[in-house]
Amino acid sequence: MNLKKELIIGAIGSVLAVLLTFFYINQYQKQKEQFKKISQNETAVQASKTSDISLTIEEIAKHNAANDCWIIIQGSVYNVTNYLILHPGGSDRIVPFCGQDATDAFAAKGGKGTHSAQADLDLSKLKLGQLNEAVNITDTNNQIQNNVNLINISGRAEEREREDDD
Amino acid sequence: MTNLYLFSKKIHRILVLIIFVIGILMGITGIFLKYSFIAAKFTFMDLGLMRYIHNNLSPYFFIVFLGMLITGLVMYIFPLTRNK
Repeated sequence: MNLKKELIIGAIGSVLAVLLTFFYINQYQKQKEQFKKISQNETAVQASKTSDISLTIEEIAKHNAANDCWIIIQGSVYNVTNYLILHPGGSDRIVPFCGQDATDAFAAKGGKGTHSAQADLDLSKLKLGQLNEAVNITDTNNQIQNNVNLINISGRAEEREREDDD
Repeated sequence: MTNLYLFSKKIHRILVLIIFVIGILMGITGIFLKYSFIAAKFTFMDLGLMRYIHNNLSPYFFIVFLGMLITGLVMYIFPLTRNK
C-alpha cells in the first residue's frame, strides 16, 4: 500500500466522520421536533383541564423560599421544592433563584459549564407549565412529587455523590 | 516484527487523518460546552446540539485514538528493539 492509497483511505474515513456528524445533526433536529410536538400535546391537555391558577411572574414570585420554590427556565415554570435536597451542587445553588428567572444560572451552571443531559431530563419532570399558562396546580404538583420520588429511587443520589467526590 | 512495524505505520497514517477531523469537531463542541458564555454570544448556537454531537462522536474518537495509541506504541518500541 503506497502513500497515495493511505491518503485516500484516510480521506474516505474523514469524509465518513463528517457525514456521521451531519447524520447526528439531522437526528437531533428530528428528536427536537418530536419533543416539541409532545410538549404541545401536553400543553393542550393541561389547558383542557380545570385551571386553578395562572403561572404569572407575580404568582411565581410568591414561591420564593426553600420550602416553596418555583423557578423560571426558558419560559417554563418548575416546582423544585422537593428536588432541592437531591440537587448535586447542593440546594444553596438553587434557593437564591426561588421565585425568579434562573435561565442564565441553569444554562451556565453558575459559570462552571453546562448541565448534563440527565439534568435536563430531571428538570423536565419538575415542570409546572409554561409562563402565563393556566394550570391545575394540585394535579401537577402531585405528578411532580411522584417524579421526584422516581428521580430519587433511580439512584441519581448515589451518582451525584460520586460526582461530588470527583 | 518489521512487518508489524510497517503495518502499524500505515494504520497510524490513515488514522491520523480521521482523528484530525473528529478531533476538531470534538474540540469545537467541547469548548462551547465547557465555556457556554462563548456560545451565548452566538445566538444561532444550540448547546443541546453541541452536546448531542460531542456525546455521539466520542465513541468513534475513542476507537480511532486507541488505534493510534497502539500503533504509535509499536512504532516507538520497534526502533528501540532494533538498537539492541
